[in-house]
Order: sequence, then structure tokens, then C-alpha cells
Amino acid sequence: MKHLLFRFFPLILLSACASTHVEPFKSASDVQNITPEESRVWLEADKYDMAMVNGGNTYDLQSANVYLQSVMDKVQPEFKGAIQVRIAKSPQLNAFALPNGVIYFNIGLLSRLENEAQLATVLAHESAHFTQKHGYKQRQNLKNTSAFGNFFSETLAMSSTYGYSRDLEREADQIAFRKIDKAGYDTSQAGEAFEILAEEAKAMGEEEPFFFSSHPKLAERIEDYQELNRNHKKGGLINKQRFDQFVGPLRLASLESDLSFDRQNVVIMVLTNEKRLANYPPEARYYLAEAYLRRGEKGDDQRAFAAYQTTLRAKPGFAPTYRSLGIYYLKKNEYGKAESYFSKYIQLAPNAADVDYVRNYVKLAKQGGAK
Amino acid sequence: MKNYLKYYLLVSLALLLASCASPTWVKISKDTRNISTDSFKVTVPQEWMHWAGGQNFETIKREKEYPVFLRVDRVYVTLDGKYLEQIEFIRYDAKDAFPYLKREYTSNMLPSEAADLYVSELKKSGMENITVIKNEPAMIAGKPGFRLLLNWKNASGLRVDRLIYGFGYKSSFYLLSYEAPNLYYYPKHLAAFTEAFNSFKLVEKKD
Repeated sequence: MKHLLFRFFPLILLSACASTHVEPFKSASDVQNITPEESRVWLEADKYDMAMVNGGNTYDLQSANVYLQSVMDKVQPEFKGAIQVRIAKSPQLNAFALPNGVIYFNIGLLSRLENEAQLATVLAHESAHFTQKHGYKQRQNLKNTSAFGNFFSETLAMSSTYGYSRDLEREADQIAFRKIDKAGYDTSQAGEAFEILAEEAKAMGEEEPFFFSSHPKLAERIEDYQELNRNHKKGGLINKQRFDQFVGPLRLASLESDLSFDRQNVVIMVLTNEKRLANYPPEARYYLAEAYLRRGEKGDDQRAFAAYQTTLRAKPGFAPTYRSLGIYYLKKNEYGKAESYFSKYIQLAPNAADVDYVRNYVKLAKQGGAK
Repeated sequence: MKNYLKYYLLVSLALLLASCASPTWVKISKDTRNISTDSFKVTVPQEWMHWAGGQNFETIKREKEYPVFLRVDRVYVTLDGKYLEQIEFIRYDAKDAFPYLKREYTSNMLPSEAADLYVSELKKSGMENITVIKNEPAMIAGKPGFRLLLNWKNASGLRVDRLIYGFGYKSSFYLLSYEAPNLYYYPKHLAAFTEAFNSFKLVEKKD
């Protein structure tokens, strides 16, 4: 059986290559004219998309959604109405395109980018996977080269989550570069976006599922964009302020999400980098303190305390810092200080979801102080 | 090869005999509704079904790791099946309190901290889209703990609610939960859970 397979393998491969010519979409109107097989792929993607939306996995923060959609329409004006961008709640650094034209942008990735030109690059890259029908092409290749073609059909809708072949990714790079250039963005930002991500991917190791699925693939993206940019004119739109206006509020939500997903190491890595920290509002240091406490390594207690103190100075009205300092002192049996911080918390956030806990802690502090 | 075959046959036979000896689901009668474990006792609703198949271990399947079996004390009951309603009372060793996070419950942990870790534990276990509706302090069997009301939607958009109480005591961590689809089932059996919850008592001999 093995010998037979080896004998026919080149033939199978050739037939696969021969049958994978797929006409890309040229504009939004083309999406009406798809083959029955493409419709099946489309339907699978629809099902996946519906499960994501129905399952509450997407953010409904309208201003950010509208902003991302507007950048998308700017880089792919021919596909206005055919490509939809959704913000996914996942803290992982990922974005992916479904074969039905829906692009998922994880809050984790979004919050790490620095400006609109970088955002436009990722959107242009992902949308190129859709316009060039890479999901469908990938499926065709798998079907033609595998004896278990149908096995892959169920996971097809997710295929772009894990990245495409080197050639397809390179094609998406080239298209994205042309698109962001045409839309007037500074193309040098394209490589920068991937460098930020590559740095994080390297620091987090293999454990972390990343954009383009792995660090080597990110390195390829950086090389591609550097090559494309080499002889290109300098300058163009960056739009940092506009990006911060719409994406800024999501950055704190992303830190909160990182902590609730037990990703304290990510939070520490991002917020101990002064350049990255500058993109976050002053209260971000509170999340750094929480991350230190969650990590619990030697010296983290002091690091957390220092970060709380910095937050207090930078943003004195940020209530959670008072609660955390109250807990800090309560555990050190410094009841007077604990009570004072808890009381301040209650004063600043009388309707907070956890205010009843804090009232109990005030009682504990009082009892402790009375002993 | 022959040895392997013998081994599998023996294991299969043992499992077959074990399954004949103790039925997994047992209908709860007036006489069997008071259930005691090594660490707690509780009165469960009559006519519900008690799962008597896995009272003493919990299987944890962490990503890219072999399954881990934890020693627990558990009482698990349902009326119409686990997708429609389930009540569970479970005790973990404090060192296994948050197995997906690989963190333990420590005696200096405050109830709000345990609640936050529990939410992270659920997310780490794969329930990424849970929403915390309420997170408040509670007294459970006379011990301070947390009360969380959570919900999430499954892939078809059905909202599922989970009410869960948790607390740590000595070398144990306890979770008492009720879970059901919000549509019809959650309100229908909430009173049954409340009654069972109020009957929950610690058995001191374990600790």
C-alpha cells in the first residue's frame, strides 16, 4: 500500500496543482457568482460565524466596530458591504478571515497595535485571503492531496485561524501592501506591526497561539514587508490619535481579559516595556500590579506594591487600586491602613459589583484592629 | 501481543462486572435523599437521579497534557438530564482547587480572590465566553465564601445560567452549584437547589 502511494504521489500532487486554479473576487458584486462548491464552503463559514456571534464571543462596542469597518472599507473600497469586521473577545494575538468575508480581529491583537496604518495592514492582509479565496484554495489542495479530503471540510471555516501556505501568505502580503499604499497609509508601518507581534511571540514561546500561527511565519511577514518597502517612497498616513481614540478604551478591557485568562506573564511583559506602556492609560499600572500578585514569584509582592503606588499617584480617582491596597494591608495585619483604603474604595465606587465583599473586609479590619 | 490481548480482555471483563455491580444512575427516593460523603452531607431532591458512577474522582484534561485524575467527594444529581438541569456538590483537596490554573487554595485567600480565580479557572478550562452577572460574599455552612451567578450562550444562542457557591475550609475547597438553561429550566428548579444548598453540612472527620 505504501509503495503504491509513493508511486502515485507525484501524480496526485500534479493533479492537485492542476485543479486549484480559482478565480479571485474582483469586487463586491462577484460574491453573487460563486460555484456550488464555493457555496458549500461559504455556508460552513456562515455556520462558524453564527456560532461565534450566538455564543457571545464578539464585542458589541459600536464605536470600535464602526471604526474598524471604516478602515476596512478604506483599504478595500471595491468590497464595501461584502467584508464585515468583528471584534472577538479572545485575548490571544490573532486575526483571521473566514471564506464568507467575515474578518475576526481579536481584542488581544487589536490592543497591541499602535496606529491605524498597522491596523490597515492587518485588515488588508486578512481581507486579501478572502478576495483571493485562499480558504477555498486551501481546501481544494487538501482534498486533492489527501485521501481523507472530507475530514477537513468540517474544520475548513477555521482554517485561516492557523495560517495558510507560504505562497498564499506571500500573495496576501503583496496585495495588502498595494492596498494600504493606495489608501495613503505609511507602508513602513506594515513591518513594524509584525515586529511588535514577533517580539511578543518570541517572549511567550511556543505555548502561545499567534497571528500567522507561529513565530517563523511572522518572521516571513516581516521580511516580505521589508522587501516590499525597500524601494518605496516614504511617508503617508499613520493616524495614531484616531486609532487611540477608538481602540484606547479596549486596551484596558484587553488587560482585564488577559488577567482573567490567567495570562499574567503577558501583562507583565507588555507593561514593563516603557514604549508599550506609553500606549496605555495611567491606570494600566494597576493591572501590572495585579499581574505581579497573580504570578507570585519572589519579589512580586514588592513590585505589585510599587505599581499600586504609581497608579495612585497617576490616577488618584481609580477605585480598584484602593481595594487592592486594602487587601494588601489586611493580609499584612495592618488593619488601620486596610480600613482606610477599603473605606476610600466604597466612597469612590459605592455601586461596584464587589462592594459587599469590601464591606465585609472593613468589618474584618475593624475586628483585627480591635484585637 | 498475546499478553496485551489478555490484559485488555481482563480489563474489559472487570469494567463489565463493575458496571453490573453498581448502576451509574440511581433514582432518589425518600429513603435515599440524605447523602453523605467523607467530607459533607446533603439532602437532595426526591425523584431526581443521582449519578453514583464518579463520586470520588474528577478527570482534568489540560491542553497538550495527559488527563489527570483528582480525588474528590462529589454528589451530582439531575432530573431531566445534565443539559436541562444539574446540581453538584463537590469537595477538592485545597492543593487541587484550581486544577486548570494549577493553583491551590490557601488559607489566607479572601473570598473575592477565590471567586476571581474560579472565574479564571473556568476560562482556562475552555469556557471562554462566560459572563459574571453577580459576584458577592456568602456564608456557606457557616463559613465565609463567594456566590457567583454566571451565564454564557452555547453555539446555538441558548443562554445557560450557573449559580455557584464556593469556599475553602482547612485543607479543602468546596463548590456547590446549580446549572440550567435560562429558558424555563433555571427558574423551575432553583428552589430545589436552594433547599439542597441549605441542607449542606460539613462532616468534620475528614479534616
